[in-house]
Amino acid sequence: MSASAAVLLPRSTERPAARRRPALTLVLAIAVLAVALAWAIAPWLFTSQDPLAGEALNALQPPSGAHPFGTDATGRDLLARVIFGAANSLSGAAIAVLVGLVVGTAIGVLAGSTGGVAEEALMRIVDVLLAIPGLLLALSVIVLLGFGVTNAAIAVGVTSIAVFARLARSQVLRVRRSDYVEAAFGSGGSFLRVLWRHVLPNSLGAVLALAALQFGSAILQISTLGFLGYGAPPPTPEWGLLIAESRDYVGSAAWLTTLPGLVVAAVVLSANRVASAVRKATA
Amino acid sequence: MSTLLTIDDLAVSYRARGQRHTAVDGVSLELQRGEVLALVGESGSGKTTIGHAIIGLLAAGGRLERGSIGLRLAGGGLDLAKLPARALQELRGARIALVPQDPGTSLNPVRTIGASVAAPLRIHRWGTKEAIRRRVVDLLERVGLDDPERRARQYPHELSGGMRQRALIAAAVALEPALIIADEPTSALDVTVQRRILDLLDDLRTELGSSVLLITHDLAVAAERADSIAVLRGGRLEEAGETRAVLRDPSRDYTAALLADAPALTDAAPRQARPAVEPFVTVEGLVHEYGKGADAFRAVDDVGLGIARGTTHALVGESGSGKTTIGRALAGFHTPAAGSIRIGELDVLAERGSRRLRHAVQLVSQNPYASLDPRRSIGQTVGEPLLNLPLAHGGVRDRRVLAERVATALEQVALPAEVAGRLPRELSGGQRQRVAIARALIIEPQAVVLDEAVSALDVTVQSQILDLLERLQRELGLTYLFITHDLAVVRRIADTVTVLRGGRAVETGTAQQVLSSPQHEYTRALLHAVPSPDWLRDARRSRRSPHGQLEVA
Repeated sequence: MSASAAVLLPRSTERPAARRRPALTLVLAIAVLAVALAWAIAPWLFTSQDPLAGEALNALQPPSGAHPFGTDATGRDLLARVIFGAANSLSGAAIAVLVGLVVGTAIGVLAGSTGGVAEEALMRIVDVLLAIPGLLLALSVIVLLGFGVTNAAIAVGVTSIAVFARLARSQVLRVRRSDYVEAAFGSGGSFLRVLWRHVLPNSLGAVLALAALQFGSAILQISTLGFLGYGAPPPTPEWGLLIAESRDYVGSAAWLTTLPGLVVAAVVLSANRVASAVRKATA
Repeated sequence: MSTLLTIDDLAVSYRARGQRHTAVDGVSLELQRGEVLALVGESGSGKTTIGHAIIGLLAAGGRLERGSIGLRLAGGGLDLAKLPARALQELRGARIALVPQDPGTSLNPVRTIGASVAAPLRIHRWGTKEAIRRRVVDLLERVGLDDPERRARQYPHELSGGMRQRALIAAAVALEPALIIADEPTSALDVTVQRRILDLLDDLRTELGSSVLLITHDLAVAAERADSIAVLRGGRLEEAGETRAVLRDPSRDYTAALLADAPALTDAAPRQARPAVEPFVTVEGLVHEYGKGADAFRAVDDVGLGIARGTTHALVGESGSGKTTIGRALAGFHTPAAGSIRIGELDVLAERGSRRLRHAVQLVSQNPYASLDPRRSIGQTVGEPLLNLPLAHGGVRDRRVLAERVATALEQVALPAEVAGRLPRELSGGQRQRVAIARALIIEPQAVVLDEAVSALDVTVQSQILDLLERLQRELGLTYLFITHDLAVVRRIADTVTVLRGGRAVETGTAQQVLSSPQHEYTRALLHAVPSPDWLRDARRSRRSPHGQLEVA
């Protein structure tokens, strides 16, 4: 074992010994995601404030003990709005990833395993999807489907189909060429059986890692659509919308854009960190 | 004669899955100036790790636990184990050079051969750009590449494996190092190429007065080329000393076992020719081309052969000779452009992909590390063929019956039944190859194509697998097509032989005829290239190993 490991990566001798425990950053990332998830499931446990009703007297208060994130132009507690917004943003991201994962992987696996004309046709469709800028594609889909949180999420999902399809296809091609798949055919396995028993289990690791990665960028993209006004209608609390609504006050009340922005950044970074851990674990 | 390298009580450990494993444990060695020291041992014996420890390139997670590596240069002695990384970097390439194992992956594919060979010269600021360019051309010429100016401008993919290894050697000797570490320099090459590369290394060593640390699994190579030899096992030194003294009269059982198992040294007679009978497997006029039109490459050109039932036919040839193409056509994995293949009454080409063909012939492939699905247990893998077959054709659906059949199949290949619950990564290479054989045999085929089935295994394991194959042939009356590049293995197992070159059969006959009195010049060249010093054979013959590997059943 050691001899073959030694051939792999001749690198200078030592690395710090702190790799046995799970990395601190990974623990932190999982904690951030867990909190965000808890916000989405039971927001009322984390704040007693109403995210929709505010008092005009309290408008544009800077962060304080009573309002940790401050208040917005109509006096609503910003932290409450961020907490209640988690449900919309996270479920949107989940839908987006699911659309990309399911449709993209199906196309990729089909293309990679059949080959020939079917593969050519499918991958050219994927090329077309890739050729259109993501935002434009998302906007076109929204125009077709109509505005709304779910539709924005589906639109974002459609933009990631191409990436999933290409990755899934490359993985399937790699596994298909392996000796054990040939041996499976040699022992009389039918096409579908070999696909199910050998090709799929061995090619999905990288695809799942991409799904975790895509989760982060889906939150960003949905926020972008929200910011542009194509997502949830006001006054629904949604992270992108929160930032968009506050852009008039960047000069006078910077916390209104900064703090929700930091929350989005923290969740996206955490999702990416978890994704890289998934990739390492399945590699 | 002075000592160049003195390794004293060296210990190296690696960290894997949170635990430290000792890879090298208390090894002490000496290498004299201008001599060759061979490190021999099976995979996992720590021989590569010692090489990497000397040059300071241990893999990630590796750590020098204790010991010293003394290098005595003209200016004084150094302890490489204590040298800071910077200082070691100064030595690397200049005083100590590495010739890596696999020429296929050791050259940067986007840089020219010239740039790769020039790298050590540039790094150590050897001279001006123009001087380096001239030196590179000289070096390429010295290592025997034709038209060195042009070779320097070419990219690795334009060169054959042997030519790439020559380029790597050129890079290694560019700065006339005192120590050359050659890590299995010829293991990935054909025998005829291997001989030329080893000759080249010998010449350069004499010319430059360098010492060579030759890391090899091949005892015959070590016997032929090394002044002294160190036998390693599981990270410990079994014995070391002057090559002839050690191999003529090994003091350790392990060395004796290695010697007995080394197929290249077998002097047993090939299998006796059996009376000619109606062939069971017949291949006639086989032609196969890759590519189309003018680019078409004829991999197999009008090859025919016949194999009697219950015998072994060996297909011998170097890489690119078309032997694998023939084997795969016989196993029904692809349809040749022309020709016919019959197994008994069965027309293989007409039956391609059918259940009847699966019962007639099975394939065991070369690499036991790639041929088992890493996520499925051994039991699932071995039992899979039975699940694939329809019930009417001997398929099994009942769990208990399946488990019994798997246990029987594992027993047949001498594996304990509890292996069924394990994953491939928990098994050694030899055990994995047994699993692959069990999977092929569970549906009771009549013929088996063995494509380099023992090439990736250590000699002792190789010997065990060959024994197993012979026993199964006797018990089950199997017919083997044995594809190999190794003539020593042919001597051991084949009844009849076809020698292939460039897709054509250059010689066919019984193993005895072909190996004892080769008619074709190419067969003679192949036989001559097998490293097998006479003194060692004589020594072995007179000693008669207690392991009984010399008599071939």
